[in-house]
Amino acid sequence: MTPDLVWREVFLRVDLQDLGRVVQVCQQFHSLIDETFWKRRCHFDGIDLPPARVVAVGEQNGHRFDYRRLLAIASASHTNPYGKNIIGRIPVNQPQHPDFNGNPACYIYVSRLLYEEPPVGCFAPGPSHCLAAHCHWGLRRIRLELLECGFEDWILDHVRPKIVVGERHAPRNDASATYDFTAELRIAGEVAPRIPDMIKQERHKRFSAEYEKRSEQPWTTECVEFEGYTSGIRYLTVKSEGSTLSDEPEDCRGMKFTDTFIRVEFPAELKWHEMDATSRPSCNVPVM
Amino acid sequence: MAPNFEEAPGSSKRLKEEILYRFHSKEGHEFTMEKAAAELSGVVKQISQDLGIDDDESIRNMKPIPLINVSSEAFHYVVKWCEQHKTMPPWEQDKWWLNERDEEMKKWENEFLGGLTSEQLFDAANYMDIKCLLDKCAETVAGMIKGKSVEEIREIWELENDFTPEEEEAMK
Repeated sequence: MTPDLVWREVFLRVDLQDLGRVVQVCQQFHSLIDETFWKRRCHFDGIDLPPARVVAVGEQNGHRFDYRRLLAIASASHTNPYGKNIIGRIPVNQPQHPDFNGNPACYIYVSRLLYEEPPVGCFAPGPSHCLAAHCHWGLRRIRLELLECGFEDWILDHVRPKIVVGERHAPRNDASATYDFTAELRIAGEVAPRIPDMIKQERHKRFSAEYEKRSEQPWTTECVEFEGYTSGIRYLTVKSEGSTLSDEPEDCRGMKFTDTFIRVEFPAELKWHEMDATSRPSCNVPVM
Repeated sequence: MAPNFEEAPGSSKRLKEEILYRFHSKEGHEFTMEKAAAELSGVVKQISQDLGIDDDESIRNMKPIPLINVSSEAFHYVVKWCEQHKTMPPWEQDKWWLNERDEEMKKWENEFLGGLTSEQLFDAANYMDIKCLLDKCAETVAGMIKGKSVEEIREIWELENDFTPEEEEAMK
């Protein structure tokens, strides 16, 4: 009989849709595809696992971490929820690729932006590519469905990791330009919540900058952080806007941004939060 | 046709100038493998380390390494594989399955494994801890599972359905 170790190496490389049949072959196969296997498969496929202490705190409170679910969802959505960048392989700073159409985890809307590879007119060193806005306020909005990225609801509701969102931006050196970056945490079913309410609930963060012509501004990374937010968070929206200021020629693409990242960070001392009353949507209009 | 072990690259009758490791297969045949090729095996590395062997002279004077689980036939192919891969840049240890081969090497590997159905080779790769061979064998077998039904998988690898009817029902 072929040793378990050999079969484990094989199963790490079998397509996910075939593994469902593999477990039905015999007892040996069935016992090999256990929780340890799913963890190893995540590692093999480059999907990071949550820290062990997060899994432990979940277990103490009656929530078992489902590695199989993490693998299935993160693979289907091309995300990496517990990694350096949740958006994983989704090309948010590139022209939209048909492979990523209809991604359940990530909706991207782009308006009046152009793709530059490499960025034109910015200081080196810089990124290899970026999105660029001209004088009519180009914008990109990313909407992440956190459960479809592979998060467990109890981690969002009870553990509430710090959420860090940011990207690099730079103006074109011979133009004056402006940049506006907003990130928001949304509750399921929420429609057009009031910004003052969201600010109060630590769910709305913004960074903006304006640059003079020849400001000699290098590429900079800015980020916003969410901590102490309410329970019930299910969506994250990130809006990046840029514009060349009006005295420039129309086609001058004055503001650029790229290398967008979103990640969660767990504190060393984990706290188990109770559900908040505010986790109900602030507006009860059903989503059509 | 059985391979001719005497004239194969792994033969014990090789030039003495080369630095060779010696091995004994399960059947007691003696084989040799050139240093760089042999050291693709984690087991060879470990044994040399345990015996404190760190120079070429002591490799030459080393007793043959007994490989009680590796048949002569499997070892013949292991030698071929390792000789082909000995000049490959060292593999990253942590995520070793992500290491890339160039197109020429990929083509060679596919032709090499295409003509083989030997499970023994896979077992040998596992036993000798040869990561690049293990990776390729596992990938090849995984490819054979692709799209197959439960019954077909059982047939290919001669596996018994040892589930009780209740267990089978529970899995549906």
